[in-house]
Amino acid sequence: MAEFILDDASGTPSGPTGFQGMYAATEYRDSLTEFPDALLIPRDEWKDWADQQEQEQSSIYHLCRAAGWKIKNQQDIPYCWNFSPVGDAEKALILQNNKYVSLSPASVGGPVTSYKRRGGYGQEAMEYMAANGIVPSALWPDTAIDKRLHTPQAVEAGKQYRVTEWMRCPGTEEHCVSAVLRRMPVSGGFSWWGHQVSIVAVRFRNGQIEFVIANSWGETWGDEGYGVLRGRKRIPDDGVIPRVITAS
Amino acid sequence: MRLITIIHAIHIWFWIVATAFNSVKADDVTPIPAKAKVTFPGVAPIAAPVLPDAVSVLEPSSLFVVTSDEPFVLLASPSRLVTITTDTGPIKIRAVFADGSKKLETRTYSAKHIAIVEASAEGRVELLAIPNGFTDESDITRRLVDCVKAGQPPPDVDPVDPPIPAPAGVRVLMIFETSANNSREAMGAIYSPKVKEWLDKNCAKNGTQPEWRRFDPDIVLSANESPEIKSLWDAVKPKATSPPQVAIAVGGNVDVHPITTEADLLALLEKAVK
Repeated sequence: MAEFILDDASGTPSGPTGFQGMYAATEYRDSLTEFPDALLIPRDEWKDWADQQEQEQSSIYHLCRAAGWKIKNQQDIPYCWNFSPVGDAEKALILQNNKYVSLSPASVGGPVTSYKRRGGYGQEAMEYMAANGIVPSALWPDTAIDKRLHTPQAVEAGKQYRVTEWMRCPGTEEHCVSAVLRRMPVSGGFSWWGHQVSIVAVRFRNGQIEFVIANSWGETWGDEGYGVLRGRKRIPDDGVIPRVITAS
Repeated sequence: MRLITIIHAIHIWFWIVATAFNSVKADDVTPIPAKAKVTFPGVAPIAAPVLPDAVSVLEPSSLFVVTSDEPFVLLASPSRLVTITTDTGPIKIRAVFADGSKKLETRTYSAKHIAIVEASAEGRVELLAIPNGFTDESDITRRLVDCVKAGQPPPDVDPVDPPIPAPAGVRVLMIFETSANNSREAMGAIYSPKVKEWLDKNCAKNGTQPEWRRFDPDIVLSANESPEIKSLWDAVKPKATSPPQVAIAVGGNVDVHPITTEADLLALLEKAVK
């Protein structure tokens, strides 16, 4: 498991980001499904769930790595708010045991921003992914912000990878831990970092809760692209969860 | 070759339409890998593969024309029953066409790549159109064609659809509502690496993909989903009223059980295949 730690003593990692804070939490409230309280796992059961997944290697992190899921690299584009939820949609495919297909964050962020290089919010990406789907990277390279790629063929291909069920995950420890332990990857936005990354496992070390994250800065960052958030840094300010993606 | 030359001399005139294509400046565009759209006669242009669910008849004097805008290879199995020639479009052909009125007609094919199939012996042949750069079996388009004598009906064609045989092999759906409060034990079973290993080993394969799914009843199945998985879900949907449940299909038999623990689930799977 990843051992690249970011805690309260760490500085802010530098790299391409793009998360623009909490604005979307109010902007998109009407169209959101909130993470239901009924799914909250009691705090005194967290360790049992987490330890079981670490021992059996059945966390999102373990299952997706075993299936060959690959870390993406947003390069110099401020599209973390697309890379993280699109990566989570790929993970949802794997968790459903559908064929793993690399999907293009630029095919979402490009149309959402009118092909501009700007930051944004996970909810913006999810709204688009729910309405239009995500084009496979084979047809639309991950970082190509180019409207000429928005071809009829790409549009049709994208419809095969539509997020049909998604939720907003409030930025609380209870919600994040419960979602991830239920194998729902949380695409969390962190204001301290100005960045959105995917939370793929919960683990306990020395009695403390840690979140294992998948970043979108390529495999040379952290431990092969993964890191661990500890302390106050681990709690995102907002998050989205692609729960079900069109099976293909 | 002589036979082809004679047939072409009698029935076919090709006019190659010279077409000049303006080169597109694309210095800053990443090339898009092309996946061929292959069109068989009588079938609308498709992106998805066509299963051999239709049979065409090919008489000796008629042509069966396959077109695509992307390069492809057309293979015949067995190869001795037909001859295949290739050309580039746009192209105008005057001939009798397998999907036509059985009279001479002139057609213009605008696709960039053309393959023309002619019968050279009687029998059933499978045609496989393989796009260049294909990565998956599903990229291949297949079609069965009966090569017959002129005026002869297709051999052994039953006007009534034959019964569909039950799919061979094991298929499994672990049905659970992802937004329900499932127990740790049930979730542990559903995401158990041991269960996954068993399913990967024992389930039928669609290409390389094992035919089992973690399945939310809210899921929308895409056009690309395995037809057997779709059929299985259609069959078990009325019974899947108390998830988490597992539906185990072995041949034509389907059983639905509750999911409790990893050990129980593995025992159910083992029992089903014995």
